[in-house]
Amino acid sequence: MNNDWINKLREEEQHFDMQAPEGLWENIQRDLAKDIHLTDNSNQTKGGSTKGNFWLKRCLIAAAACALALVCFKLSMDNTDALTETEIAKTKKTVDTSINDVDDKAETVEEQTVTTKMADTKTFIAKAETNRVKSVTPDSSKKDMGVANEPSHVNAILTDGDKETVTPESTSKPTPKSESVLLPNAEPTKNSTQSVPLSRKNSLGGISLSTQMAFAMGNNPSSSYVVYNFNYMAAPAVSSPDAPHATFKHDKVPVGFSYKDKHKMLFSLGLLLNVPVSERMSIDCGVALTMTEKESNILNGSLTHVVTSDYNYIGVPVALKYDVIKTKNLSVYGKAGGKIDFNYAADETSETWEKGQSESSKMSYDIDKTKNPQFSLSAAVGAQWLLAKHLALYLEPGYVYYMDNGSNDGYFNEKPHNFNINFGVRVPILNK
Amino acid sequence: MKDVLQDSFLKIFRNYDSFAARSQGSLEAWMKKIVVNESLNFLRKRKPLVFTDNINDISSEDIADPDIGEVPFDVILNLIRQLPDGFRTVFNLYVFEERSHKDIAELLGIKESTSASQFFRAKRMLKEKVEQYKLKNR
Repeated sequence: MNNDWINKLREEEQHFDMQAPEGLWENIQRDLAKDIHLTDNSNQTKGGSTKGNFWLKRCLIAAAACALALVCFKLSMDNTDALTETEIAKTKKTVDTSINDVDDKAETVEEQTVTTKMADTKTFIAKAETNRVKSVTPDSSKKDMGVANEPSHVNAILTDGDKETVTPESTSKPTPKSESVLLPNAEPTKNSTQSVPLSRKNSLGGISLSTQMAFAMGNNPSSSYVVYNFNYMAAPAVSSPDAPHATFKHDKVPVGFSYKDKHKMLFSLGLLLNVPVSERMSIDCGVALTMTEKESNILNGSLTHVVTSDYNYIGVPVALKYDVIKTKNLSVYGKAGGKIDFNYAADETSETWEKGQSESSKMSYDIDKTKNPQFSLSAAVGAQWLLAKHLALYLEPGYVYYMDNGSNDGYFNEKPHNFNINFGVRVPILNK
Repeated sequence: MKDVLQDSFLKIFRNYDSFAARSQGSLEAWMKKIVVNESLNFLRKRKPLVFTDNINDISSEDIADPDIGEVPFDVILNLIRQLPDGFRTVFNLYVFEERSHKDIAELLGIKESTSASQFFRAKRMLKEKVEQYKLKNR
């Protein structure tokens, strides 16, 4: 093939000039000017964003520090509580001694009173006898009645003084709100009480499962996301009359009652924001709503009570996360942190059935909220696999310890140890 | 053409820093590469290029070279513009961009034989157009 014509074309093309289309350069200049303007704005935005991130990071660190300080404060308060308990014990001992003294004095006074009254009665009877012997009058029947009434009055005094038949609960302690429902027909006697020590330390929470949907914010898919968290925790039911129990707010539970507690699945819903602090370290911070429900079944003779207690919490979790292994698609991390929960709502529903009756009586009422905040410490290890740019799977087994907040209400104080497995998907929305 | 040229130059200006940083190859070759890519993208977006011919269909007429002796270059360019997209694309790449049929096949996602076939068809069509032009301008 002769390529002369091709070479000629190439040569002519080298020397060929052509007028650029009209307005071409103006358009290019205009577009480039737009670029510069956009770049300036972008730089400003980036600067603002960087500034925002700067403050956000510091805010989160401050929040984490505050949470840590609160935990330390709580721990120190626990120690203070221990001291207070010692003081209370001392005071109780003093008060008991005083009460014994008062009782002794009262007994002395009573004995003196009884002795005096007995003497008066004997005098009165003697006088009556004398009068009856002396003369029988139409009013004698009244006086007979008077004679009959006085000893009964004396008997009444003697009966009231017999404190042995009255239980300490019915006299010295006010009945707790929930107890008024739980113990409607109680006939407590001294012999019908047994001690059931309350011990939260021995109880163990159940395995929990949770799913998460996470929406990421930031540059890093493995450590930057906002989490939409559904957290289901399954806790085993406790059903033993001898088990440590918080339904009864005092430490003596009458026998003759059969009861069973069942904790329903704990439901948690929240948002987590993860902000990278360094290449591998980040802070989780967010807000979570947690709903707990406990069902207590009480059999009391012919009556069956079902009491459902709901405690709802709003909490702020804070955790420090560290990526131990970090590749393009896989990250293995560990995280540790704490959470503070506030009980913002508490209510109870009581339903009572009587044997042989088809209908039940039901009533709902608010109960006292747990005043003290609920602190918890958590630790977890997890792995996340990035399936696509905006989709990641993760598995995160962990442990949560709910600290004693001095309350006997609710799930957390009966199940302080909780092992959980979180798994689900995260969606990094700003993954580059 | 104006849009392709404009987009090409914008790309050149926007990416000049990256080219300068690499400082590899000539600026002209780099610019040509950008313009060729932009042109091909434009063609693909406008209408998919269809190449159906095969080298086995080439006749002796296709192989004959056009006589462009005294035809002005701008006229030749104008005649080339009148070629069908597929023919013109392969022709320009082969003649002016000095690409081999192998390169062209890779660029366009076609067989090497198809590229050659397109070129020969284009050459034959250009030859006819040149002859027509010559007849008109005697």
